[in-house]
Amino acid sequence: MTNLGGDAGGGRWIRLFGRRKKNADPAARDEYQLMTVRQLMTRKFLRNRMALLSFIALVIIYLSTIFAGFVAPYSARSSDSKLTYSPPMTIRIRDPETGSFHLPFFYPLRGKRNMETFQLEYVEHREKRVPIQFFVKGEPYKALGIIEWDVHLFGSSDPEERLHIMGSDVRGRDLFSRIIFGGQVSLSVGIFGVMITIVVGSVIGTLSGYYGGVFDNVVQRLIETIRSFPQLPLWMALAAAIPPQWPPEWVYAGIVVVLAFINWTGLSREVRGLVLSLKERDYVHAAEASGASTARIVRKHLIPNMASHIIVTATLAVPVTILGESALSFLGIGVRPPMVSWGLLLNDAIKIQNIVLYPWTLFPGLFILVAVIAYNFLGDGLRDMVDPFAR
Amino acid sequence: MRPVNPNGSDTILAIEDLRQYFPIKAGLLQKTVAHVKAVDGVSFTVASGETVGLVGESGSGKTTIGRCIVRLYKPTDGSIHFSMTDGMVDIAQLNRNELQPIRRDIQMLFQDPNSSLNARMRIGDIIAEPLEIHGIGTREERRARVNKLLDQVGLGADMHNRFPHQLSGGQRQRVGVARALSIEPRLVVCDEPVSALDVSVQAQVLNLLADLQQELGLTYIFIAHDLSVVEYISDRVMVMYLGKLMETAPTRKIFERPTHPYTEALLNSIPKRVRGGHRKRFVLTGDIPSPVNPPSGCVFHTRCQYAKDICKTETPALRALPTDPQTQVACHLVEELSLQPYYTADELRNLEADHV
Amino acid sequence: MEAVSPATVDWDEMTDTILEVENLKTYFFIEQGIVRAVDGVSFTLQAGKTLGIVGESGCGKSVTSRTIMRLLSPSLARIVDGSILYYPVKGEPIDLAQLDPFGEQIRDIRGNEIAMIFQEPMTSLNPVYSVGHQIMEAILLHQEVTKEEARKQAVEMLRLVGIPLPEQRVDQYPHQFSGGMRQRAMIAMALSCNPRILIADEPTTALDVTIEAQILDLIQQIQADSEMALIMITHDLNVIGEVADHVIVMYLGQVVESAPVDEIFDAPKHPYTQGLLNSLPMIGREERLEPITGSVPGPHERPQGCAFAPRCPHVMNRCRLEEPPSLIAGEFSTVACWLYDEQTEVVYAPG
Repeated sequence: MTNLGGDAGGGRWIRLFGRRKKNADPAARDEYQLMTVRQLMTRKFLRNRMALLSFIALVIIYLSTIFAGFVAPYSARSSDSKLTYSPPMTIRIRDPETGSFHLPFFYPLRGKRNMETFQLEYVEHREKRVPIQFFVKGEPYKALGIIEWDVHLFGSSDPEERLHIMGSDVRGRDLFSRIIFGGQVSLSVGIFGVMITIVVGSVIGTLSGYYGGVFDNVVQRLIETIRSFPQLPLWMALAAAIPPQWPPEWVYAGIVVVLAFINWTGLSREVRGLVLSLKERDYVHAAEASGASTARIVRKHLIPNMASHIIVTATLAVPVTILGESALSFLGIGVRPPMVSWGLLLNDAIKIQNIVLYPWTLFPGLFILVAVIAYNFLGDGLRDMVDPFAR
Repeated sequence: MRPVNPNGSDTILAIEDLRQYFPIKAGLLQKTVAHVKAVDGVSFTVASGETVGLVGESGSGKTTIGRCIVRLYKPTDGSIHFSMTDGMVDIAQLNRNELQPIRRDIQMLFQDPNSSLNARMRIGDIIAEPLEIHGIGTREERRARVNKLLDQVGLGADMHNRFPHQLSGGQRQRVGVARALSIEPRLVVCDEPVSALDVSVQAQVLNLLADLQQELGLTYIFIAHDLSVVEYISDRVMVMYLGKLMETAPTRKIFERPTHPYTEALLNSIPKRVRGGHRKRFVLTGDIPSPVNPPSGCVFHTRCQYAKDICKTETPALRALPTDPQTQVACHLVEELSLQPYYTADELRNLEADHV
Repeated sequence: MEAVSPATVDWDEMTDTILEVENLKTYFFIEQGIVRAVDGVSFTLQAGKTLGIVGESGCGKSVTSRTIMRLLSPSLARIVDGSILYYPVKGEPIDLAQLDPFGEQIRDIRGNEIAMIFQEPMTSLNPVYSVGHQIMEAILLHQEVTKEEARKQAVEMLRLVGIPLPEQRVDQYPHQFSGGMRQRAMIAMALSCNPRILIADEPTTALDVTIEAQILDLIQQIQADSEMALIMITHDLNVIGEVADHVIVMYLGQVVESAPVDEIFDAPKHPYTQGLLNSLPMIGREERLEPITGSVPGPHERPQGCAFAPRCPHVMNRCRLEEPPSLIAGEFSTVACWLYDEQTEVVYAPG
């Protein structure tokens, strides 16, 4: 009977890896009874390690795009005609010839045309060791769009020798920098699109669930109509309707609206269902019997009980929006240059020979993948959290 | 221990020919194709300070009546007169604003303590909600009132900041009671308040309700399907079937001398221990018919063992017995029937002896 | 009094023991710790008799029945100790506790010799098959008959449980049945193989009182006709009073009192049983209810010593320290309470 212990309720640990220690005290008091709703939810979330990891990953990605000018060694547009389609450069700490160790450095690449294939081929210029510096002065930028600065997180110590850790594109622009700047568009499209989705979806869903009747009927038929179209072609049709003469910022806004146009329907249905079930709860009846106004019932009873569900649905809608933007931009009907987005960057890999010759052009896809997977895990973890009472 | 209800005491509630039909909608245009006649012409009065038990099977319309009285529903037809300081007011068709002062006097107690408390609110806020809605008192005054209520229902003031999930089922139901009483209502509609509770906790809540009634002079309409609970708490019992009132009589008389065949059937169905083997009883066959299309005439005739031709065609009116004006019954055959009470002959004799 | 296991106390020597549960312990191993859902339950069941198991929510009565049927998921619940001896018509007794819960042997017994009906008939009937199909399935599983024969039997079973027009009803689906009829169909399915033991887990809790009466009458009538043993699990003492011959009262996974039904009602011994009866509104009783104080502790809050001690009006120091064993309290009864131990002065005389 000695090893019959169970985990008595978690406590204040956050352990990402490894097994949880079993607490061998079967008579331990049920902590569940002692915790507030918020504590319960936090505990639930912390228990889901994938969600926690994803959350951390997303925080890092978002922070880097917010401070893109600082994180990226170059601007999105600065090019170098000597280094077109340069492969990712190897960052070394060990001299391959002498075997001696140094601070991180790289060998610059020198292009040489292969006279048989006429391809430009790059070889490391082993004579010159260029150290990589942190907090290096480089191209000036505006941090957060206001503060003028020229310090970058890392970069080549020699302005003449450019460092492309993920290679460069056809005009010799640093792909890593472009991915970081592209993230600003791709990730913000997700957030803004979902914000519109939340506002429109919740308001319409609440109204149609609470009041029902003709309004509900019309809205439900509209939603059914929208949803009966295949998603991507509908997006494409709507995106193609954005006038080509619009400035890039407007196009960006247009894309956000187009993406939200389909997403709100799902959320609105979910909210409607929730309202339908919540408004039959006895606590809502109790409030009604006490004479509570509709606004009060919605504010005090419906929203707090729906908020977490809405957040989960919204979290799971973000990756859909990100994929939507990427797909549209990849196909050339999304955001337009000079804006960059992950989908647009991936457009470089649209031809099969490019993938064969310059496989690093697929790096933006990796970022899309990571962001989408992380959002899905996060949504999963939040879903657990939504119902803290289910143990 | 029950509050005495002398005849002729003030009427607090008078319901006349109450009807509540729910439309059934179908098709693309949501046309109304039929009605669920949940309550179909019910009249009764409730005297101030008494407890009226409302019993019947599920689908009999007892909960619907309760919800009409607290005006969660707007009745299809009929009147609900409630006694206010300036006389009886018909609240059946009042709008939201007109109802506001009346809502302070009528409150409801719900069945399931799990779903009647908002899981995201603290106990203190739940109890204070009706006060807040009616703008009674300052924040501090409300807090003091909540603490007093918590004490009254047998919970400590430390419950104030807890959440519903941190309480046991019985404690939650006490919170429900405190919320209902926070704005000092005169009439409380109790909708199956103890049926979701364990036996021991059920008794605690029943005693609490009885004590509060004594203390505060409350009037209860007590809706329940458990006849033994109703017998314990009520002064008078109303038996409902398929949206109609079948019989109403003082509690003791219902059990000692039922006058409606449905009441008899209900009493016979109560599980009961009879020493030395199982008792002989007659059991109602079949199920309660659909309230969409209730039987013609007396709605009970399809399951009534005494039904005659007249029962199939003519709807019996609820009338007082000439011999006993306190008992009202809706049956054509009252005079001819001699129905079996809940008690056996021996038990009846003992009871008679007790009463004398 | 002498400490014994209730299983050794026969409550009727005239009939054969058919099931003997001895010191059964089923624990749940969950994230939050161990839940001792059933913690040392013993009883015997005799052919043709009715055993009532009564207790409040969380007392382990349903887990007991599911353990006997071996219906609990082995990944969640384990039989830690004890035996469940089933005496078949022929051959040696079988210890159900030792069987593989997915094995052939338990499947042969389950549904065939020991059948069960549940509280929620709608969740126990599969909505996509007709009621007749589901009864036939049970018959075909355990008997070697043709499909036509099984169908005939299914109709017969529906007629037996009082479903009108069984020939038509047999092809209907569960949603076309009312609550009472679904419970009848469940009973028909359970009885289709003439089980020797029927376990009814709150069979009438979800039903109206008139339907409850129909179902209780039906079960008792079938029992009278077939010498079937019945385990009636319920929280409702009135139902127990109506159907049971012998009653065990459970509290937090343990049997606190085991006695013939008349003793339970007329001379309850354990303070918990007394408390339950004093809490129960009984028609015709005028006096005020005297509820047990407090409420049933949560699964992880099991008190030291006697589990009932914190709520017991007669609690003594000893109760808080030592767990009382089952003591012989009468010819056919046991009680787990220190009040009835010789070393302890009896401070409360029931009556």
